[in-house]
Amino acid sequence: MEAQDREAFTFLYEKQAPRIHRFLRDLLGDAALANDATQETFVRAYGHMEIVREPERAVPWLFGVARNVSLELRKARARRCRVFSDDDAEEAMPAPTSHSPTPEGELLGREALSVVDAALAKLSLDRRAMLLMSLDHGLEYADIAQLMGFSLAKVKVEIFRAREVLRETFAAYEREAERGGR
Amino acid sequence: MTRSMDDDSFERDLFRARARQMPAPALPSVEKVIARGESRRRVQAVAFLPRMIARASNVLSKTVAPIAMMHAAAGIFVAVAWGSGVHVERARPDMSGYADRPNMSLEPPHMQGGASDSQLASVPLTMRDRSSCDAPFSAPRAQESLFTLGSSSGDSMCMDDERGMSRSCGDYVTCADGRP
Repeated sequence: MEAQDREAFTFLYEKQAPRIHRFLRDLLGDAALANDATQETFVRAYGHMEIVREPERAVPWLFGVARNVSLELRKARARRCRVFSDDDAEEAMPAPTSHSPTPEGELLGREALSVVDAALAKLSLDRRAMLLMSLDHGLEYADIAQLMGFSLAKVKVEIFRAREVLRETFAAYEREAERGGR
Repeated sequence: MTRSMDDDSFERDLFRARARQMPAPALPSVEKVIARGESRRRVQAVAFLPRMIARASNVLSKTVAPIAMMHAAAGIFVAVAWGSGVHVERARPDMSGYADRPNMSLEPPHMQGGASDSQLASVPLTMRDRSSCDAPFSAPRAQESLFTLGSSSGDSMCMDDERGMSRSCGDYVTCADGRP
């Protein structure tokens, strides 16, 4: 590996690995599994240095790879589940993991965590992935459409519906908070 | 307050607030990822061979004894993989007396007498022969599935019957009847 490539890869890893990890944790619902998946995503990226050298192209591509890795891990997990449990062959949709908020987070963003996690748990995997890529990670609709293999119109509709779920969840949370505050 | 769906700044703020308070993940160092990437690259350099050889041997096995063809194909693969710097392990669970080192007979010369951990970590391939499966392997798909790529370091891949090397599968290996 040339020094330049190594530098490009290191830069990409240090900049994007935490984001990819967050994305994968939200998809897989398991922080430890997300660690493995993040590593696997970047190991695969290592084999595509031509993309790594172009950061603006590499970022959306990385999210596509991460999503594929998450799907493969979920399939593998489902297979293992079938071996151990015959009566529950269908894999349940994992909810995003609950977090251990920092004291600061306890004060500042408790609502954001619980509302977003609750909303994500209600979404199908594809819709969840698209919402995360768009709102959490700032990918363009066109990039999302390309890496998901969907039309642009479908991506827009899916994200719109996911946002509705997020807003409904937040509204329910606000109503609950108001009732509790009275 | 009613928020317009045209404006997604509210949702973005929610995600930003959420991201801020998440604890930083304990990710591996970039050096470790690069080392795994290098290991994967070595595997991929020879990964096309098992399928190719399996197909060729499958054609020939219609006229030649299948087991003999299988062993011949395995020998070719092992030799080429060694030449490419990739150690190939051949699982032989039926080799009594070698239970602790079942792959001993196929270790490349530089590994005879025991390999270090670092050497083993760079050993990305495992190839199973038919003795690890009870089911017959005369069908082409079964024969292909006998060639399994895995890694002693946990960095692994295997041949998928349908899609080639496209999935991670360190923990399962397919036999002709689909059993692990």
